[in-house]
Amino acid sequence: MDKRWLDTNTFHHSEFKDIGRLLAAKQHRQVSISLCLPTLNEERTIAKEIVIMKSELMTRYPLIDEIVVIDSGSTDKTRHIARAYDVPVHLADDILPRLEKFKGKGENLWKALYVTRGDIIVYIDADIKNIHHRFAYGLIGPLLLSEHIRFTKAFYDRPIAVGENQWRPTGGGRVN
Amino acid sequence: MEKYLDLLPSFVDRIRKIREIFISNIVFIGQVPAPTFHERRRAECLVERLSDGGADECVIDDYGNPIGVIQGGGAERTSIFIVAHLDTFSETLVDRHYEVTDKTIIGEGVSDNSAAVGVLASLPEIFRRLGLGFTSDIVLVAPNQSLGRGNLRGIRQLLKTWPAPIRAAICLETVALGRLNYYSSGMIRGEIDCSIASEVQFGRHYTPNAILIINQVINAILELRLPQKPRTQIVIGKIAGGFNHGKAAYDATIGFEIRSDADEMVRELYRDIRDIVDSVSKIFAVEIKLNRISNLNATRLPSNHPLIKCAARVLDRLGVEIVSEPSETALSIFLQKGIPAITLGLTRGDNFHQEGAMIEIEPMFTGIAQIPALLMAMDNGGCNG
Repeated sequence: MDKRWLDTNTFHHSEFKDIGRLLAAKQHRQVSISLCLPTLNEERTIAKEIVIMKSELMTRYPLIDEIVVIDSGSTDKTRHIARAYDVPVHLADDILPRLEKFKGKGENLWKALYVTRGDIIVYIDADIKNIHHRFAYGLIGPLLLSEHIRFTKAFYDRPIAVGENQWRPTGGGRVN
Repeated sequence: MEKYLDLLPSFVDRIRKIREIFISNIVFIGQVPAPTFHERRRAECLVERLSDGGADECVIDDYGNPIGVIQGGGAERTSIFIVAHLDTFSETLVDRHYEVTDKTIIGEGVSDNSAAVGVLASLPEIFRRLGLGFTSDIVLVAPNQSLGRGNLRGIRQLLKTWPAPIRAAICLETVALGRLNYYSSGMIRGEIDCSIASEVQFGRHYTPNAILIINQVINAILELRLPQKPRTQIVIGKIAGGFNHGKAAYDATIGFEIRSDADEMVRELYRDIRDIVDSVSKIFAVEIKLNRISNLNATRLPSNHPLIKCAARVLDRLGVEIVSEPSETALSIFLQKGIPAITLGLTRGDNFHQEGAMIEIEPMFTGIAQIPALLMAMDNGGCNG
């Protein structure tokens, strides 16, 4: 792989911390952005993810136009909690019901394309305890500020839990 | 005052619609640890959130207090303070994860006082979305070094150096909704340490045990006769000691608090405890130290003060039952300086000071709505004494 390409096309989320700048770029390009949260039994984390993304990237800065939950058939309160925060929830099995049904996150991801309206779609896992809106704007930034980038994927050093509700910032392995 | 009360239902509804803003602030701030004397990271987080929320001036002062100012439009620069103490009882220095559900926020320190600090950070945005402006500067402060050995040093220092006249203050505590404090008891908080040298000493017929000696001190304190008037209480709230199940303890410590409506009674009981410590120390020929770690004078706002009446009317209109008790917080520092002040509670909760501390989200809409209504009345002179 061309190292120059890697250097030029690898970014850090802090480069996109200025949400106002991203918003200006979004308005200039006249695009809409959807955030999809694929879920399966995430009642402990889904509310915090929705609240932070809504607060920082919808209410305070309208960078994201919609948040949608695509659920694989949670048996806990995931769907109830998401709806309590006014987020539309779709069961993956109810999208394109005539097609053969499969389980798994991949199913949720591609079916999200049929129920979201955005020109750009962002996917974030729903089980992240240390959620921050940088998980979203880090992915969105290159898409809005670059003319040639059409796809972004995150990688990071994963924190590792060292006890109940305690964690170290690194040591959990590279995630791709 | 009636026109502000009439706005309350719409305030509650509009605050509900932006609940994500203050829940996010509670999470971002609350997850950063802030034991007393180690509040710097949380102070930086709060200042950042205040700045993002649109406060006009944001700074951490030389003493480490994070401050945000919403500038008023009046010709004379006067200030109204809104205060929520920054530090928590938890000693941990590791970031915590808060858990949010549709009804609750759960996490260590959320109920004392992380949620109130999160609400403080949200006020610039809340006031803007409610379309409110004020004549006075609204000063949002989360003083450090408030708890325990901190002895409210942060707010004491800030008020010594604040340049503008302070009209009044609202102190925010996360729990409980309905709380309306306007007086504080006199208080001395102290620790008694018993320490025994590990080497065998000449003249001892037995090996002393620091835990048993401290127990003698506790029993003697419990025998002190306390008056019913002035209302007086001694609480022994902390104890620690020993190192091994099978060995006599070399060290033991208790923490206590004397509270009374009368400062002289507090001082008298502290002298009695010092006499107990000296006596037990001589009887057992061991070193026992008495340390004073914090103190407050008894203060109060008269119960017919307009600020209290306004706050009570707000709570009454919101349908919340009022609970008034003495409160040994920043409130007493303002009152000692002759600045009218009250403490308000924001919501309900459970498991206080434990790892699974929990607060309810729904009552917060009502709890927060108190603030703009009362501020409007204060700003327009309706709460002046």
